Amino acid sequence: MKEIGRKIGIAAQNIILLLFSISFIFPAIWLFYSSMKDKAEFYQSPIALPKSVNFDHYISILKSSNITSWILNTVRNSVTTLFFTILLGFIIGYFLSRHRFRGRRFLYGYFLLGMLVPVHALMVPMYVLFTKLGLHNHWYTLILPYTALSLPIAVFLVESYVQSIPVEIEEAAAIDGSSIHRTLFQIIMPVCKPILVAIGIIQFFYIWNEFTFGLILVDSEALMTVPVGLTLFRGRFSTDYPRMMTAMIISMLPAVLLYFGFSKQIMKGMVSGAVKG
Amino acid sequence: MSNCLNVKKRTIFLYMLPGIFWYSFIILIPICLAVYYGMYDWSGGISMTFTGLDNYIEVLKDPVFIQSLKNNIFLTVVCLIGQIGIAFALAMMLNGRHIRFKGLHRTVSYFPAVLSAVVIGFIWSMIYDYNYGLINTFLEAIGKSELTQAWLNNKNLVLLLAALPLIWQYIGYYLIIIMSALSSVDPQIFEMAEIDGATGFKRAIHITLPLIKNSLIVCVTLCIAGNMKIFDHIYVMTQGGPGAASSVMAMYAYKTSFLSFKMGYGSAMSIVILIICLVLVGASQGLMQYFTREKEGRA
Amino acid sequence: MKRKTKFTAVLLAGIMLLSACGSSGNDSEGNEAKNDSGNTDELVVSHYFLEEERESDTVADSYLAMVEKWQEDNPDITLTQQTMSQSDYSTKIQAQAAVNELPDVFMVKGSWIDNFVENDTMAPMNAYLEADENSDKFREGVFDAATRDGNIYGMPNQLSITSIVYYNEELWKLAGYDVFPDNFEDIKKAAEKFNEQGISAIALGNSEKWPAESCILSTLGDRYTGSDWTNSIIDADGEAKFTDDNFVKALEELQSLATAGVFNPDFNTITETQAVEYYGQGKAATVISGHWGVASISAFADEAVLGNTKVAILPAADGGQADSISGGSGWYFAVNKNLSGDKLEKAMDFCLQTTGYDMNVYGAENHGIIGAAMVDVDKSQFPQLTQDFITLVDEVTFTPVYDLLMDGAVIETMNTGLQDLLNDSVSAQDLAAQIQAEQDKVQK
Repeated sequence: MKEIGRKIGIAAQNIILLLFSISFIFPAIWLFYSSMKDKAEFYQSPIALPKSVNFDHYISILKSSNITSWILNTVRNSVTTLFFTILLGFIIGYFLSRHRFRGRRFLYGYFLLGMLVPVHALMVPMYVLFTKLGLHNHWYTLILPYTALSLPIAVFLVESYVQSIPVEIEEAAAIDGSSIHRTLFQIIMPVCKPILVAIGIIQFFYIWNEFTFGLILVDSEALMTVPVGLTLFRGRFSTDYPRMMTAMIISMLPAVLLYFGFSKQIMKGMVSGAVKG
Repeated sequence: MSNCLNVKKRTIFLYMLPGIFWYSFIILIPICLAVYYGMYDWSGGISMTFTGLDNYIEVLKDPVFIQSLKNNIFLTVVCLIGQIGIAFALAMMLNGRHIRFKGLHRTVSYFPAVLSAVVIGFIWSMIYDYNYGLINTFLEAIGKSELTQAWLNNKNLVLLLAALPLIWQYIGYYLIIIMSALSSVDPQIFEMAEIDGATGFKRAIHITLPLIKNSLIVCVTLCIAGNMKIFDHIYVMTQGGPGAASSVMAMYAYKTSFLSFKMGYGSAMSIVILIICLVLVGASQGLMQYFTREKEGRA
Repeated sequence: MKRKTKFTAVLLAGIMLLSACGSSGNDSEGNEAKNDSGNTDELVVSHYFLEEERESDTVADSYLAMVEKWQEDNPDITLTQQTMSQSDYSTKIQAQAAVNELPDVFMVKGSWIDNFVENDTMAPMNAYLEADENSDKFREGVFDAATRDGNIYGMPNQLSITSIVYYNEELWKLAGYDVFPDNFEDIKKAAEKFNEQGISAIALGNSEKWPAESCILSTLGDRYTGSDWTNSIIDADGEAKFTDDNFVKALEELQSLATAGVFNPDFNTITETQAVEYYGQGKAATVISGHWGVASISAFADEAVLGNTKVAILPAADGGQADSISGGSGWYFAVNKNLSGDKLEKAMDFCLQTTGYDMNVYGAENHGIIGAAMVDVDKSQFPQLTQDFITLVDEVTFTPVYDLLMDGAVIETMNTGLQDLLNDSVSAQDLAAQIQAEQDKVQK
């Protein structure tokens, strides 16, 4: 009896997981195949599969907009921001975790503050700050706030993760005569790979989809990011859903491809975990 | 610990300086500016009238702000249960031995977090759509068409309905964090528990939870912080409507500054939001530390 | 030691890589040109007319066509257009105004003029208008909203006519009305019949909150209050109040329309454009839209619906008159006060040429647009709907459009509250009190 109960339990779990997974992925699939319909067909039946595979909307949008330059800008922003976020976040998170010094708790809370900042509400001071210093509208403009706003989460997660790494590692390294610089980057950092990867993933998509700073701090079309560029398709008079969906898919595509491309890496990172014993 | 590692305080300081500086520049200065602006009656531009703490007090009495605060808290509670609760349950399931397609589930679960708020808002607006939406179509299909309505126009349900996309989007986010924590737990502990006769549910509560306590505290903090400053999703889906039924603090502050041209008042509001968040997060952290410390004491 | 140098090397490489990336993306002329009064080679203008919309937005098409022409006429000047959707535009321009970093030429809404004048951000145009031969061809009053103390600060860009009733003659005939009813009771009665057939009497798309106020209430309110009341509110002289009986009655009438099922059930969740689509697909017998409705309906509606579309205006209030609709100039192009010398000349020239008489001519001749300037044009070249529209507009007088001229905070409260009013979750009196509370805070 218990055996059957267990089997049912396992089957139920599998089904639940399957249902969740379908719900997570179906909307994007729906978005994709709907973008191949034309407006009338979509209104007729929003859920049905398209009658034919056609990329008309895609061609039209790619031809009539600067979407490629938007994507390049966003990629540049993302890569650079992630580099600095992971580097600086790791350093700060590590030291906050391992070392007791005066003001440690304060510093930790100080970084935590960054997660509570209601960004939209601080648009005006941010804008004032950037324009007064002439920092707006450059290729590096958006990297500044993106990194700063990614640090809290990076510090937070690293700090927590490092706490679960046994001190023995550093002690062993110290006995071996390793300097803090070497220990930090050659020994601890690799051990922290899973959490650093997690931070990278989370923040990459935050940056990719970030809209407000992209709108306010950057003026020139050459520097436009993808989310801001997308709004140019949602003018007052547009209800051509399939066309809008095409624009959405195009903007999502690089991020999605990266995501599924790296999924093995990600999973490996999470599973391999830390060095234990 | 610093003793055994022999790291000079100065080295630590120098290492952390660039990050601290960068962060302060972006975060601290605008906050100080906002505090400053909050003390003026300012509509953008040159003329500003000093009003001291008037704006701040006004915010606390503003009925729309209070409604927004309530909405934020409601969303937070719903998301704590929905996002973290479900993520934890899924994580436990994914950790079991007889589950198939683990890799697929893990990969796919985070996918919604990858999408932008605009896309999420669009998808779910379509689900709630009066004419073509999934819900109404389903209701008509099962013969209950009298229950169909314009869902997002329902003052009582709109907030809950707005929470659903939030939950759906971020389950994977918390799943990653929890799974990362689970992966650093020695599997032998689970095996021993099973041998000792602990069933799945009990195992989850009494063994797993305490072990990943720190990560869970991280999750709760992230959830509260995220939901207190939520903006994008609400903006895209309901714009705070109908009326102020789904208004949230960050959106109200934005509207005040940019649509009503009360930048001084809007700045004061942002500072108040910040302080409220601080208090809530601090309180929740304190509470969690207290409860988990008690548990360890018993063990 | 080795580690340290390797790390530094990586860092340096990273920085070099960044610089390389930088050269491909840097284009920050914005900084140099903005406050440089002498530099005549560049001009930065920002507006919300998107290329994407040219096919369905005749005003956008006209304006952009004028800009193209100006560029041809002035090839030595690099013109940079910063374009974004209208709602983003509002946000952006406010941020820029807050730090006095406005572009050389920008759009300004009537209700912002007080603010902008107070902060001295716009250059007066009087001299340039006097020198322009076509200045007298503009309609009376279109410059008013942008004039303070005799100084004219903006060129009217469009004549926003916000309250035109587009109705499907065929459907209304079937419901028993040869023309659109001239009183609200009949509309409610007809709604019952329409609802039985599964369509709505009037399509409303109020998810963005402005249609109910801009397209309906601005006119409906005027039916009850008269223009003097509206102007008093705009001037904020304290005489007129939202809590006055007349205005409250207007709110009640609006609410009664909603509770009588005149509108589509999802009125608060769809956009104005979607509402026009409903109408175009025959799912509603009417839609109350603005001058842009002509273009939208002509572009998107089913053939049959388009053929049956006629125009009308909102009925009179009990015992009142109905010969006015909300309309007027609300959006202007202004020139940055900081410009001087040659650059100022160029900017003014740009303004007058792109959004002046010539644009009105282009719009009138190509699309039948009724603009801020009066242009004689042969109506018969246009589709029937456009002709009917022109005829209608010629016969009515204009009353102020609320959201073009009233204080921003007041409008925001009104718009948000109207959603509740239509949902029957707030009473007309309470809403009026809320709006008045905001109005009380407006100081002039």
